[in-house]
Formats: sequence, C-alpha cells, structure tokens
Amino acid sequence: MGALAFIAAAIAVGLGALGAGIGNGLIVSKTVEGVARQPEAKSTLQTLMFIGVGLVEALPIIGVVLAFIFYSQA
Amino acid sequence: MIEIPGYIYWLTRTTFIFWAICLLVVALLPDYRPIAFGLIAGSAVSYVNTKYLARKVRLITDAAANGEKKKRGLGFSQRAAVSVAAVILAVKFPQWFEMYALAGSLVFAPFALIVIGFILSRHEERNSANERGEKNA
Repeated sequence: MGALAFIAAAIAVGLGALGAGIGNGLIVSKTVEGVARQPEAKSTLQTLMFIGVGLVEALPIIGVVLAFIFYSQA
Repeated sequence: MIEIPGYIYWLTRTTFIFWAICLLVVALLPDYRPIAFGLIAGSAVSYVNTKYLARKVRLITDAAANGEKKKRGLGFSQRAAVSVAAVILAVKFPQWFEMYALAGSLVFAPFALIVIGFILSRHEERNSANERGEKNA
C-alpha cells in the first residue's frame, strides 16, 4: 500500500496540475488578449474569466487534497 | 452582463444559506455533526478561495487594460495551501470534521457559481426581453 499510495498521490497532483496549467494559461492569455483589443469589453471578459478559472482550478485543488489524503494514509 | 461583485454577492448569500442548513443539521441531528462541520469548513475555504480568485482576476484584467505589468503573487499555491490546511484540520481532529465531507465541499463555490451564473443570465435575458416589449407583444 505504501509505495502505491505515493504513486497515486504523485499522479493525482501531477496530472491535475498539468491539465489545469494548460487550461488556465489558455483562459488568461485569451482574456488578456481580448481586454487589450477591446478595453470596453473588460467587465464581460472579467466575469467569464472568473467563472472559467474558478472551474478549472477546482480539479487541481481536489487533486492536491486527494494526494494529501493518500499521503496521510500511506 | 452581471459583473463579478454581483456574482460574489449571490455566492455569499448561497454560502450563508448552506451554512444555516448545516447548522440546523448540527442542532437537530447530533450523529451527523462531523459531516456538517466538515461541509461548513470546506465551503468556507472554498468561499475564501473564490473571493481571492475574484480579486486576482480583477487585478489581472485591470493591468491588461491599463498596459501595466501584472503584480506577482503565490497564485494557485496559496489557494491549494489553504485547502490542504483544512484537510490537515480534518486529519488531526476526525471527531469534529469528516474528511470526505470536507474534501467534497471544497468545490462548493465553483459549482455554486455555475448555477448562479445560469440563473442570473436567464433573469437578465428575461428582463431585457421585457424591456424590448417582446413579452407583451
């Protein structure tokens, strides 16, 4: 159980962070690009980015928490 | 479109209602107290994380609009650290906090935001249709 729990923790954190990193990068880059092109659309883009980033970040947070649970039970 | 403070206002109300329901469970069903406390702690952490995220999003877009450089911060690490701190609380005090309830409710705010966004956009759509007089026609 010990080594497998560590591997499970590493996979949960690593893959979660990889996906969220790519997703967050895309969201932020497109929003900044949109705000730079059209500053008058800032509030709309801000709201969409807020909801998008909030959703994308839920997964790695759960990954980190699961990894910690695996780690504490190893 | 409803802006971020509007979403935060409704998220605050939703979170407080959720806490009230959990506290009712604490009062009426003593056997389920650890689950209710876990849900309260997880949703509190989720709420704080979301408010912090809203502030960061506002700073990033303001910086982009004004052509300034983004201010540096710990970003996601800070939010993950707060979440792990809550789980450590559940590991140290299992008699008070149910770990799985706490871990599950860490995603309370993002999912509440989807529902809030859906309801607010439907409401806004209906209001704009009323203003155009489509409903009375």
